[in-house]
Amino acid sequence: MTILVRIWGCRGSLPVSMNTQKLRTKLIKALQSAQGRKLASEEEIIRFMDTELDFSVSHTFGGNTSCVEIACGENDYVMCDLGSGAREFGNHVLARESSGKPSTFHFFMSHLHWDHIMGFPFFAPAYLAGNRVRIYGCHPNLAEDFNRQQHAHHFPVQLAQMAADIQFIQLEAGVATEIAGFKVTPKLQLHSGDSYGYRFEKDGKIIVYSTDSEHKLDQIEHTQAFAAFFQDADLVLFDAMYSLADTVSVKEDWGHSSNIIGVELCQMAGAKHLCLFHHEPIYEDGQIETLWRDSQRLEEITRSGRPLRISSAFDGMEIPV
Amino acid sequence: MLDFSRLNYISSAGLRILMIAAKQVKSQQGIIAVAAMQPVVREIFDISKFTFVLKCFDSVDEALA
Repeated sequence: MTILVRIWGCRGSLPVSMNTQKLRTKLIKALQSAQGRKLASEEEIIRFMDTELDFSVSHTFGGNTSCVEIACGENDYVMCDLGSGAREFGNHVLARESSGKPSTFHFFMSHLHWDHIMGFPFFAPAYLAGNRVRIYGCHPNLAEDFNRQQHAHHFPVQLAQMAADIQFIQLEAGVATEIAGFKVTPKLQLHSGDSYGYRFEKDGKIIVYSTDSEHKLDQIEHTQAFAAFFQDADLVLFDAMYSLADTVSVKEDWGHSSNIIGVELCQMAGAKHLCLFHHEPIYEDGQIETLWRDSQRLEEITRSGRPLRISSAFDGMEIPV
Repeated sequence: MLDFSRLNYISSAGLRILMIAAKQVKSQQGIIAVAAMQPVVREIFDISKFTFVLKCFDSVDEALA
């Protein structure tokens, strides 16, 4: 059975938006590339966009903060993090679930920094009685932090006023738990205030969500532990926020990683697909595409076994696993 | 000055150690420079943006000039 991973928010730290100037720059580039071409039908236009334009001209990586759906065709929703992408995800669910049948949402929290929880006050299904929201994490203060975000000083509706049945469930790093048909194993990661990655396993498929995680690859035990966590994964969603040079110089100990470390760890682990995630908010689409292409090139020149597929997350992306 | 002419690969762990060495040398008012990188190593330096944080020269002669 295919598991579909949907990216609802891929941006790190702070949501960003497309503005008129950026949109017009893309349009100018696209129209310049189309000069002299006869694009008579919508199909021809789409083919031209998809095959001849740079990805960063025909698309945008998007601006919502971390929120990822792991869809497996059942009634429950399995999600990672509640960044601003959760708002769009919630609206999508309401539009799809016209029957009014209650749903259960399982959210696995990497940590409780603002960009990873800010979507919850805008997650519309949490306002509907009958829905069940289960928020899992390894931090001891899950409920307290979610309540604080919706304190009257910060937001007009308090958590207790949301009509869904909301529960917070403590998990323990390194201990696998069966949830919504998945074997879920959290792992402690290096980040300010700690963060946790999650390894999801079901029917022989393995998906790893590992964001807001710094790596120091000269520390062999650390490296081996993460290679084991990523071992044979079909998909690894990986924090590639900074360049390697930044992570070992001016941004050392800021709690994030780079595309280079992602490639190396996935190669060590024999993973099949690395998806670069948690994009730096100051990066324009062109810079993220360059980072993606550079990562593909690095994989080519360092490959010793089977090829590692490398993609770059964008809001609305769907990855069949 | 590090002569990389016989180095055909460098990992992120190697790059990090280079950065640690560069910081230690800087604290003693020195600098580390890298010279004569092979094309693959140069590409890894470019991709990792290490060309922005370490002085890189095309040849040992150029580095010493």
